[in-house]
Amino acid sequence: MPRNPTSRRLTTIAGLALISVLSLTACNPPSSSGDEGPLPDSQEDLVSAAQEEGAVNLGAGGHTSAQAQLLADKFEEKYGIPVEFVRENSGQIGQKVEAQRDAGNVSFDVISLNDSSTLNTWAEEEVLTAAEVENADDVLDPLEAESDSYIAFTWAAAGFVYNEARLDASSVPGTWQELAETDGTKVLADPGTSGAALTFVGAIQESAPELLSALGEGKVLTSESALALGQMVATGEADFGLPGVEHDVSTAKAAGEPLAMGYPEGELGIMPSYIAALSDAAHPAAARLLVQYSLSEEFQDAQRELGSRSTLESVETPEGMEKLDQDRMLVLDQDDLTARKDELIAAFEKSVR
Amino acid sequence: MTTTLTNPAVTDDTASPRHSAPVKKARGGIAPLIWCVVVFFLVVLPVVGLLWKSLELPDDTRGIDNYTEVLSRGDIWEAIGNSFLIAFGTTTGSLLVALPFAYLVSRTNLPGRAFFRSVAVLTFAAPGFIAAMGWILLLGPQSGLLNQYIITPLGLPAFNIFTPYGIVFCLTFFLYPLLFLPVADAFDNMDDRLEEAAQSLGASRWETMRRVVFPLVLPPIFSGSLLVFISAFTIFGPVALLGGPVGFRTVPTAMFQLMTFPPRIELAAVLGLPVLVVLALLIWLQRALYGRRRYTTVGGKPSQRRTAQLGPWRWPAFLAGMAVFMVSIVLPFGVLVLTSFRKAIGLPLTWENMVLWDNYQAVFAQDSIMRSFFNSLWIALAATVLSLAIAFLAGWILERSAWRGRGLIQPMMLAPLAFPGAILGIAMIIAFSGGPWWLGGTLTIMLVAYLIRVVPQSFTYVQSGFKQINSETEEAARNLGATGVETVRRVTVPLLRGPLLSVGVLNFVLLFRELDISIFLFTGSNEVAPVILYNLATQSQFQVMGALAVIMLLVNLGVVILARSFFGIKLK
Repeated sequence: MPRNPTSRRLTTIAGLALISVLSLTACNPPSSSGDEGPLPDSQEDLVSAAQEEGAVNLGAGGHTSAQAQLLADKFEEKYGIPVEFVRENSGQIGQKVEAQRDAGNVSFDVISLNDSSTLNTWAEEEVLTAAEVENADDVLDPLEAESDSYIAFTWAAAGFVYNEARLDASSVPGTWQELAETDGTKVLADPGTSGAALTFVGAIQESAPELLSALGEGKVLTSESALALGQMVATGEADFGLPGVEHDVSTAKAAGEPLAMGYPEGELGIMPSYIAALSDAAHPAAARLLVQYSLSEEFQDAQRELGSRSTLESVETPEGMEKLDQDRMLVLDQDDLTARKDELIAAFEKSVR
Repeated sequence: MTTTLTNPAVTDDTASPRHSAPVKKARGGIAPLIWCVVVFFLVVLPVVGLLWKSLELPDDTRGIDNYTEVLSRGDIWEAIGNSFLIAFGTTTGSLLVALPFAYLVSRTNLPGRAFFRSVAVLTFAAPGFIAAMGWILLLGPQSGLLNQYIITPLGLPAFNIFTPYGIVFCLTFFLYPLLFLPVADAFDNMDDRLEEAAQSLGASRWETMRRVVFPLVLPPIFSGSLLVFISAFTIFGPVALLGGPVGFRTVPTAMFQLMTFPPRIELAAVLGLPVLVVLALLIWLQRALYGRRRYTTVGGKPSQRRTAQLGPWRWPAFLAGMAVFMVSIVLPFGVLVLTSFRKAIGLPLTWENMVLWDNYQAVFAQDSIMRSFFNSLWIALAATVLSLAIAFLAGWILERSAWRGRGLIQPMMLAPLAFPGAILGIAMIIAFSGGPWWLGGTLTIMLVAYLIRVVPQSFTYVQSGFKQINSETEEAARNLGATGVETVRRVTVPLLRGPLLSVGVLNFVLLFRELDISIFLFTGSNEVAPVILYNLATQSQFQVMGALAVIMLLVNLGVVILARSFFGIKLK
């Protein structure tokens, strides 16, 4: 029987596929972690140890891409240590770490999250290790963490977002009440699927408890994610997006989108982003050094240029952002927020659905 | 037409031996053992790992509390009901589009039929969330371009894409190729003499269609519908974007909610159960419908292909084909092309706000882009070929061997369908990231996950193909002295060329843009193209994302053309 050309080609392709599979296979356990004893006390020795480790992996759930890239660039420039990072939302990084813990192979040395409740749990379970940050006491009082295993490196206020190419700045509402009474479609992120939205709803229930039901009387849409929220405001499907989170708006502006933040009077919900080193980090010295560097004046000042607020009192508010005194900063207890999650979601559903 | 017309190709194994002489089946040799090993790694390990996880309780014990907790919630049952609604609607819509379209491109003189057939697979060229974004830009009730410039000026009410109907509409034109491609292949493989025989016995064209043609393409119709149904039941991106604004949740969006703040993977894993139940019901239904019948339509002897003449309906049919092409590919990708030339989607659509190549330059300015493209190409290709090999092995054991355990084959091969991408990603991490495999963060774990993702559909296509092949042709080859391997290589594989190529191209296109699993398995160094696409979207760089989506479409188009040229398929 003559050999069929299709069969010959399939055999060739199958052979190539097999070779590629073999070349991709890497069944080696990860390099050992944290077994080499305590980290050096002196900063000089810590830097040497970190440089010897040669790399550090960051799971960036609390950073924007621009913040993570800036951190990677500045850290490598200063210490010569490359930072490999994965930027996803805080929930996705949390899920990834949980699944990797189950498998016994966490790929990150350092993680950043917006969710202090998960960080508290991990601190109790000793998943995290204190990074001995020298200037930890300089962090703004409302942003102080419950555990010394993690620390706030930036924060953002939650107001509302609008498209300045469609809405004149002079007609932007100045209070939550005005916003609720203003014509136009509002899109609210769903507190069931977005941590930022849950924080926002929690803050609103404290600072302006009538807002949700007032919003519900108008035309309201919801969104499962900040991604959809930004897109809906940009395209004009909605006129206002809640919550408008400063670093999301900064990111959109950097991409050329004409989005702007609205800051209603009074208290505003605040979303701190925290960073922590993992106990089982494959690069423990570099992990500690990266956390310490995140709190350095040098990096805190640099991230200001991106439109990211510093957690150090000494660093000024980024240009174009409203200066917020500590008495306007409403930082919610995330454990309490998690415990009240169902109640807050129910209040949201009742008011706006 | 007499009522005594019988279909010579669709026979019942329990009927007279005159119609279905029992073919002696081989025991299978080493093939079942190889299949067991493959299935253990690709299905049992991750699925059992996930089910085990679903039993995990906060105090580190195991129990069914997670099941009672999740399944006692009213919103979860509402989500399950909504998933059924979307899945039924999408399957019905896909059947209405795919069946006549498949018949037209395969059996008639429809102008441009080879083109329509080749490009159908391109509906999958971008992740689902991109297609949904495209539809929001087109049919958003307030500022969708079609609403703004065509529908409303005509005095019609704006179409609201943020409704269950909008979701069904979007998913129908996104998923219909899962049904269209195997059915078109089945039409190709049908022996015209069966229809001629029916008509010579006095059957009208409609009766021939209903009593001969339709029953013969029932296996691919059912297996394609099963894929569409389960895909619509478990798809996340489009439902989240289009249903989210009006609070419409389905099983995967409910799963997503359970996985956030704090992450409760064990609760989300519970929701794999309803999908497993649905899958089991569908398999049972499939067996009840045509379980013991034979659907042989392909023999070793070539037959003359007859093309039905559409006559005056030729050009109206062409317009209908163009409408499907426009709605499924041109409009959603056209709006992405338009987006790729905009400065920002938030600025008015005017000439001043357009750019020429800036967004494309921004794509290529990213260091990682070429690496991720290369990774995606290789992994998608390797997973495609391996999935075909596994599907062929499973199909052969099921349809050609007498192995006692072959009743397990179909459920095992389809089980991965029960888990949406994100959940499967988690299952992969649990099963393979740690010891003894240590695949976390490698491209290998991505490859294994991709393989698992496409094994079910590869199997359904190949199994349908096997059902159509007359095993007597293979018996004849054996009688002429060919070994078992030679028979497979020189007879079975060439006869299955249509389904293998169709599903091969489909798998590649699907995997080249696979996002849901990739995002979970990405740890920094194993980047693939869809992850970059997603990151651009999260950075609000919609216009750069549009440019990258267009490039991915072009790559897929190139692959479709290359595959068809490489394997000698003529663009008729």
